[in-house]
Amino acid sequence: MGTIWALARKDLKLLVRDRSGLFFAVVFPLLYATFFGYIMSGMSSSDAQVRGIRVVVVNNDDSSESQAFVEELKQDEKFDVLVAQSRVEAEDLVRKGSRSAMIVFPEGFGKTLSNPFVGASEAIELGIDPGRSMQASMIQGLLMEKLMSGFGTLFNDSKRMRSTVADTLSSIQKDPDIEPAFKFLMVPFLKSVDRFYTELPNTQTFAQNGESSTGSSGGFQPFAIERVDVVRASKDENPSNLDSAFQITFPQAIVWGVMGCAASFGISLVTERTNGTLMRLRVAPISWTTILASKALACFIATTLVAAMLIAVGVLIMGIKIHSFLMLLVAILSVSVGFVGIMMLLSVLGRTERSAGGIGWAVLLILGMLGGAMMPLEFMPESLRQFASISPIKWSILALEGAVWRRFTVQEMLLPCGVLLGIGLGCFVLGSRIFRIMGK
Amino acid sequence: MLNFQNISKTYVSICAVDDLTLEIKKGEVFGLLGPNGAGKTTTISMAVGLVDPDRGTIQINGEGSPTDPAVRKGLGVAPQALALYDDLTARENLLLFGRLYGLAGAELHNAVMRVLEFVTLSDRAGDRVGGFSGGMKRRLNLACAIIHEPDITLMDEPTAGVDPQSRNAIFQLVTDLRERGCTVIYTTHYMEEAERLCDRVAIMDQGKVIALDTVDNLIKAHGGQAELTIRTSQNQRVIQTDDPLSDLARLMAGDGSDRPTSFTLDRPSLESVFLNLTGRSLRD
Repeated sequence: MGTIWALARKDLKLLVRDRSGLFFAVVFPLLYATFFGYIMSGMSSSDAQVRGIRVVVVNNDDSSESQAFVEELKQDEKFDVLVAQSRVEAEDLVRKGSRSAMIVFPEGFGKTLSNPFVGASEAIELGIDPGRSMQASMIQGLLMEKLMSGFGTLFNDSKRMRSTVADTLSSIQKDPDIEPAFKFLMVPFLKSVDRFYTELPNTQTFAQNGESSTGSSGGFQPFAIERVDVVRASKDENPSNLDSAFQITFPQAIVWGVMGCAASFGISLVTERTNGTLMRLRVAPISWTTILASKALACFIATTLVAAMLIAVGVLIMGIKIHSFLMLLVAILSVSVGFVGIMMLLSVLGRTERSAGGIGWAVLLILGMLGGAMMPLEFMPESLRQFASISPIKWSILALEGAVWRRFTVQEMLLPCGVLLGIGLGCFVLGSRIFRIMGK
Repeated sequence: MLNFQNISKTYVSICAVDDLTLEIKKGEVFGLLGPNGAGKTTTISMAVGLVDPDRGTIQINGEGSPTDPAVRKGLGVAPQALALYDDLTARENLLLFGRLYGLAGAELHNAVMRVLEFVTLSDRAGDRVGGFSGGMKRRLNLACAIIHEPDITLMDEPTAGVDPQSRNAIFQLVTDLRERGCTVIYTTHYMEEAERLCDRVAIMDQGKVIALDTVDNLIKAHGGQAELTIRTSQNQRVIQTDDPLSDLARLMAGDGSDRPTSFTLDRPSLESVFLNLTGRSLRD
C-alpha cells in the first residue's frame, strides 16, 4: 500500500508541476462545463426554446397588415429579422450562409391576414439554407405559430369577428365568379358563425374556458408555406446542387479530418522534442527553417490528401455533385494552409506529448464548437455567436460549402479563403517563433 | 581540429561551463570525463551548435562556428538520448539521416549498408527500431552519427544503459573509428571506459577542466601510489609503492615467514585521480 501511495504522490506532483497538464486536468473541464452550461441554459429558457434565428424577409405585399406583421416578427425574440429589398438579395444572403432562412410574403398576404375567409393568398415561400436543414421544420413551425397567433386574437374578439364575417358574407354574395356550390356551403356557414359570436357573452368567457389566445386553430389553415430550395431556385441552369445530405456532411467531415491531422502533427513536433530526434535534426547541416518547413509541408500534404480522399469517396461512392472542382481545390488548399498554421501553434502549447495532445484537442474542440461544427450557430446565444468568426472552422466549412453547393463566385470565395490563409500564416509565424525559443 | 577558447555557459544562476579552453587533435579519441552535472553535455551541445556559448569561441577545422549549418557537415553526433524514430526501420532511419547530410542515390545506399555492417545490424535492417533491444538501439544511434563519415564524431555517454555485450561492441566501434582516422570525442562518467579507449582525457568538475593529459600521465601525476597487499603465513600488510613489480620480486626473494603466500595489487585509476583532485568520488 505504501508503494502505491508513493507512486500516486509522485504522479500528483508531476501533474502539479506540469502547468499545461494541470490546465487540461482542471481548467479545461471547468471551461467546458461553463461553455456548455451557458449554451444549454440559453436553449431551455422558459417560453422561448430558440432565440434569434437569423432570417431575411421579403415583403411583396404593400398592405399595412403585412408591414405590421413583419414588424411583429422583428419584435419576436425567436427571430433575428433582416428585411431585404428583393428576393435575389435575400437568396444571396441565405446562399452565402449569412442568414439561415428566407421568408417571402406574397402579394395579398395582408388581405389574408386581416380576413382569413376571403381565400388564401399565394403560398409564403420559405427558403432554408441547406446547411441548416436540421432547423427547417423548426423555422416553419415557428412561422406558422406566429401567423396563427394573429387569428387567435381575431377569434377571441367577437366584435371584430362579426364585422369580418359580415364583410366576407357580403363579398361572397356579390362576387359573380364564385362557384354556386361554394356559395351554397359558405353562406350558411358564415351565418352560423355570426350567430355564434352574437350569442357569445364576451371574449373573457372564451379565454377562461381554456382556449389559448395564441393556440392552434385546429385544421383551419388559411396560409400555405412552401419550402423552396434557395440555391436551386436561383440557378436553374444546373439543378444538380444539394441532391443529398452528403453535400453538407462531407465538407464538415473534411474539417474534422483536417483538425485530426493538425492535432497529430502538432503532437509529433512535441514528440520529436521529447524523444531527442529534433536535437538530431538540429545538429544536422540544416536550418531551423528547413526543419519547420518540412513539418509544415508534411502537414499540408496530409491535410490535402485527407480532404481529397474524402471528396473522392463523396463523389465516387456517395454521388456528391461538386459545383466547381477548381474552387474546391482552392478551398481545400486554403483550409490546409490554415490548419498547418494552427498545427504549428498547437505544437507549442504543451511541453509533453500528453499535455500537447490534450490541450491541442481542447483548443480544436472549442474552435469546432464556436465554428458550428458541433451544433448550429443559431442554437448559440448571440453573444457567443459573434465569436464564431474567430474560428477557422467556420471559414473552412463556408469555403468548402461554397465550392460544393453554395455556388460561390470567385469574389465570394475570397473572404473565407483569405481569412484561412491569414490565420495559417499568422499562426505559423507565431508558433514557429515560440517553438524556436523553446528549443534553445 | 576542434578548438574551444574560453567558453562559458550559464543557465539562470547555474554555471554549466566555466572558461573552458580545449584543443582536440585530429585522429585522437578524446575523453570528456566527469560526474553528472559536470558540464560535459553542455560542452558537447556547444560543440555541435545546439547551444550558443555566453562567452568564448568554438572553431571546427578553422572553418568557423558550429552554429553555421555548413560547418556542422563534418560532425557526427550520437546523443545520449536514443534519437531514433521507433516506427521506422533501421534502414529507413539511416536513409533519413544520410539524406540530411547530403548523401543520395547509390552513395547513400552504400553508406547505409556499410554502417549497418559496421554496427552488426545488417540482418535487422528491415525491422522497426521500436522492437530493438537497448544495445541495438545504441549501435544504430551511433550508425546514424557516422553514416556520412564525419571528421569528428561526438558520443555522449554511448554506453548508458546497455548490457556488457553491447558495451564491448561499442568499444570495438570506437576503436575501429580511431583506426580509420576519425576524431572521437567521448563523454562518460565511467573511468574504466576512458582508460580503455581514450588517448587523452579531460576531467571536468563543476564546469571546469581540472586535469587534461593522457591517461597514463594523469594517473602518474594525480593517481597516487599503487597498493600492494601481501599475505604471508602469519599476517597481511599493505605496501604503497610506485613500482609494485620490483617490490614484489624483492619480497619473493626473501625467505621464512616474510615470504608472501599471495598478493593483490590495486593500481591507481582515473577514479583515484578524480578523488585526489576533488576530494570526493566520481559517483558521489
